[in-house]
This record gives sequence, C-alpha cells and structure tokens, in this order.
Amino acid sequence: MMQDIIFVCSTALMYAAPLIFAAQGGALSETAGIVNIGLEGMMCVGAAFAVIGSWATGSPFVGLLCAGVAGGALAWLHAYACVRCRADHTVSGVAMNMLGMGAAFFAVRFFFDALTSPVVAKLPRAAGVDTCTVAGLALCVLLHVFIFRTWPGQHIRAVGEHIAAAKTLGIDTVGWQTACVTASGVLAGFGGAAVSIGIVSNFQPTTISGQGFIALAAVILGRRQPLGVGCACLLFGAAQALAVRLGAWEAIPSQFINMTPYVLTLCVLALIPPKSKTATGLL
Amino acid sequence: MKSVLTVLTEAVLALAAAAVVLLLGGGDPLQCLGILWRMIVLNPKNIVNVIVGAAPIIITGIAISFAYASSLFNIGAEGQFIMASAAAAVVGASIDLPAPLAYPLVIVCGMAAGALYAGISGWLRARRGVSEVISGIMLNWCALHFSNYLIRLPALHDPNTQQTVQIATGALDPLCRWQLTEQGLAQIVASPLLREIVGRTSINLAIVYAVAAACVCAYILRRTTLGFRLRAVGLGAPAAELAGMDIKRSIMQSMMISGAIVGLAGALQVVGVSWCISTLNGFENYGFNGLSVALMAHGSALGCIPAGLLFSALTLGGRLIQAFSGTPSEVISIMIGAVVFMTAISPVITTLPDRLLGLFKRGRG
Repeated sequence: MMQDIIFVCSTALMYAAPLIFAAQGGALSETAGIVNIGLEGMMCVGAAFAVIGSWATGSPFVGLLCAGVAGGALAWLHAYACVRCRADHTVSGVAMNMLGMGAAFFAVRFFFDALTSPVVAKLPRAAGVDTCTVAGLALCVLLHVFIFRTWPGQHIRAVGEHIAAAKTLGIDTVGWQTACVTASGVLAGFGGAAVSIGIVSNFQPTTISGQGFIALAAVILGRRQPLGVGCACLLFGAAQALAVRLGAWEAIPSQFINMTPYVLTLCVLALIPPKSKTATGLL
Repeated sequence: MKSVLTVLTEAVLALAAAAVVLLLGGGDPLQCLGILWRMIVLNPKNIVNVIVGAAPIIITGIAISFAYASSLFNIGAEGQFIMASAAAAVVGASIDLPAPLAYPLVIVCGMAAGALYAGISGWLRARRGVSEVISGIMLNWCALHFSNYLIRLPALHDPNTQQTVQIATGALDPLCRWQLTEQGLAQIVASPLLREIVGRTSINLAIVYAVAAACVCAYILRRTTLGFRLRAVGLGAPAAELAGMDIKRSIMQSMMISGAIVGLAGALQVVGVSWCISTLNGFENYGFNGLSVALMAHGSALGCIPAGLLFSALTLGGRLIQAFSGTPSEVISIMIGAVVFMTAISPVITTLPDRLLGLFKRGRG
C-alpha cells in the first residue's frame, strides 16, 4: 500500500512536469490576452527537436535549447497572426497544431528516416528526482512573482485586461503580446522536451498525444494564475499516474480516469462560471 | 471575384510553402507534382479512393461551416464524429431488422448521438457562457476514451481484435450490401473496371449524402427564416436580440444541427467503410480535417465539396509521394497547416492581390 502511494506520487510528479511547462506558457499568453490553443503543436515540435538536438550533440541540454527555439519559432508565427494581423486566435491556434505536428514528424523522418527516433541522452536526475519536476515547480513560483510582483508583470496584466487602456498609458502592447506568446511557445517546447528527453528518451508519433490539451484544461481550471495552474497540473498528473497504476483494475476502467482532467474542467466551467470576461471572452 | 482571388492566392502561397519545405528536405517539388498527377488524376481506383476519403470530411466541413454562420466554432466535431460512429456501431451490431429499416435507423441514431453531444457544448455556451471551443476540445477527449471503453465491453468486443463486432448486414451501405450479394459479386468479377473501382476500394454512397447535405445547408442558411436568424445571431448577437430573436435557442439549434450533420458523417463511415469501430490511440482527424476543409472553403457549405476533394487528394497524394520518391508525407500536413494559417491571416491575404495589382499599376504609371 505504502509502495503504491509512493509510486503514484512520484509518477504524478513526473507526468505533471511537462504539463506545468506548457500550461504556464498558455497561462502567460492568456494573461496578455492571446489565447493559445496551439500548445499541443508547440509541445510536439519541442519534443521532436529536443530529441534531434540531443542526438546530434549528445547533450540533452542542447536538446532542451533546440526545443525552446523550435516551440518559440512556432509561437512567434501565432503571435504574428494574432497581434499584427488580428487573426482569430482559434483558427491560428488550429493551424499551429497542424504545422507543429507536420513539422515535428517531417523533421524526425528527415533525420532518422522513420517516425520513431533512436534512443538519445536523457536529462539527468538529481537525488532521485527529475530535474524537470523541480524546474517546473520552481517555474510556478517564479512566474507568480513575475506576474504579480514586478512591473513587467503588471504591464502584461494591463495589456490582457484592457488593451486600449494599456495603450493610452504608453505600454507597448504589440511588443508585450508578441513576447508573451513567443515565451509561451518556448515553455511549451520545454514541456515537449520534458516528455521526449525527460520521461522517455526518444520520439514516437504518440509521444505527444493530448498533453497540450490537458495543459489547456489546466490553464482554465487554474484560472490563468501561475500557482492555480500549477496545482491543476499536479492534479492532472495524479490522474494520469492513477490511470497507469489502475490500468488493469476492473472496478474503475482506466478510460474513465483518463477522462478526469477533461470532465473536471467541464464541470468547474459549468458550475462556477467565471466572474469577469477576459479580453477575449474565452474563459 | 475577390473571394476567388483570395482562395487562389492562398492556394499558391501554400504550394510555395510546401515547395520550400520539400527543397529543404532534399526533395524535388516538380517530381512530386508529376507523381500526384499520374497517380491520382489518371488512375480510376485512386479517383474513387479520393472521393471515399473526401466524403466524411466534406460532411464534417459542412457541419462546421453551418455552425460558423452563427459565429460558433465547432471544434468538437471530432468528438461528435466518434460518438456518432460509436452509436452507429452499437445499434448496427445489436439490431436484427430488414435492410429498409436497419440502414436508416443506424444513420438516424448516429445523427442523434452527434446532435446530443454537440448539444452539451451548445448548452454550456448558451446557458453558462462557456466557450464552445474549450468545451469542444474537452469533449473530444472524453469521446475518445468513452469509445475505447465501449469497445472493451464483452457484449460488443470482437475477441482477439481491437474492434467491435461487425454491424448487421442489413445496416450496411446499399453499395456494400450489393457487393455482398452473389449477383453483385458476379457483376464485379465480370468487369475489369468494376473490379478495380469497387473490388479494391471502400466505395459507398457517402458522397451523395455529402452533396445533398451541402445543398440543404446552403438552402437553409440562405433561404429560410431559421437560416436568417442563425446568421443574424452570428453577425451581431446584441442586434439580433434587440430584433426579438432568441439568442440562446439559436445557439442550441445551430450547435445541434451542426452536430447532427457531423453525426451523419460518423454513421456513414461505419455503415460504408469500417463496419465497426476500433480502439483509438489518437484522433482519426475526421473532425479536425473538416475544420480545415471549412476554413479552406471560407465557411461556404458548397465550397466544402471542392475543398474536401482537394484535401483528400492531397492526403492520398502525400502517401503516394512517400511510397514513390521517399519524400516524407508530412509535407502535406505542413501544406494544409499553411493553408489554415493563411485563412487566419486572411485580412492580409485579401489585400495582397490588390496590393500586387497596385504595385503593377504604379509600375506602369
């Protein structure tokens, strides 16, 4: 029993790490008023380029860097469409998911001649704990301080809450929005890397299958606040860990546990409607 | 005229993007185009394959366009498709009725499942103000896991496979049923062309439904009071409300009709192509591809027909290109992603022909 609890807790932390990175990215982007439903695609390129970088240089940290750059580049496109061209956030986000998956699979097939990459060097574990988990938990606190306790954070919140008012105060709205969306892609890319070179050590077509959307659910459940989003990610990580642990148990089919992040988000949305509309009216 | 120019500009830009990606990946764009032409346009079997592949995404595209007329973004089409397929498979496997009853019943059950599932999103949007995009994404994943759960049930599971048991013969698509009769089989074997296009494909009647659905939707949206109301709500909900229109009811109606059309696609896929449902490791993308089709067609129901055929031809083409020249088929996904991205930035694209023409005129003047 004790062993089971330890297993579920450690697995939950492991699965939560990628979610935390991607969800914090999504929350940052939404704080600046741009909805990013392209997290899945950005995680996908991140996961692919992390493996490619790690394979090419033998260093997982270079892989992590590649993942950030790839995710950020894709997110920059989203920023360009949404901020400069005033595109519909949803349509552009859908395009990001397609482009992200297309680019990831294309790149992996280009480098490895197959959709499954060879095994590459993983990110190290420190004292039995995944570095990604520690980094992810630290990120939650750092972002909380950044958003609520510093002047750039204040500017970002102002842009997201009322863009016209922010503009009249002389805040560079275009710059902040572009920066936040791009940063969200970098974080989502790290999230992808946390799966492909953190949890496992290669890339497969199913490496990223829904984590980006679970992260999106966490953004909503956590009400876009870094600490709330972090807790939501831990909860969803625990749900995934339970699904793994109870896999063969008949009383509760694992499919229903897999559904929990989504059902929970829907219930919370239905029962506790948000008090104020966001700038985009999405939440 | 202007919208046609926009669509053409988008197509050319997407082709250019694909060509750049191909060149980066060491491929030859012209050779790929040659393969596409030879293998698809000049090959009857592949023409049928393109049509069979296009039918479901044309129908889901029409459904998404229909909701889009009321400014609703039915991203939950994927989940509605899965639920409809599941309903069709369950009903189809458990009934024992003559064909004239079983076939329509299965399709109606699929449509009802799609409509009800879309109704959840519609209710959340109308009554709770929850974006249909967010609820749709969540419901997609619920549908995926629920369908996988259904397949594992002993009553439905086909032992030693990842599938449910096959649906009753009476519930199959008329063309499939004809193939299974002795007389039909004899006719297919006798003719080389039929052997090629019927024997070696999953030919079915779904495309007929697709064309009919496009016409019906275009008619409802343009020529009926219901369509007028739905479009008015889409163009400006406050104005429509002032004019006495019931916004909440309109949102529910729009979502449920859209869901029913997606359900039609899901049921047709089961009765005409798969005859059962299989365990899903990920989405089969019928809904998401329908989204691309609808965006490629700029929200026009009739425009979904050519857009869906093009989409299907490109997808099949991607596989063929990979088989014949080793170029990764993912270049097609990138190309379609580029098309969707260009619809997103279409305000810029729309002015592009004008700007280019402006340059040209200035150059002459």
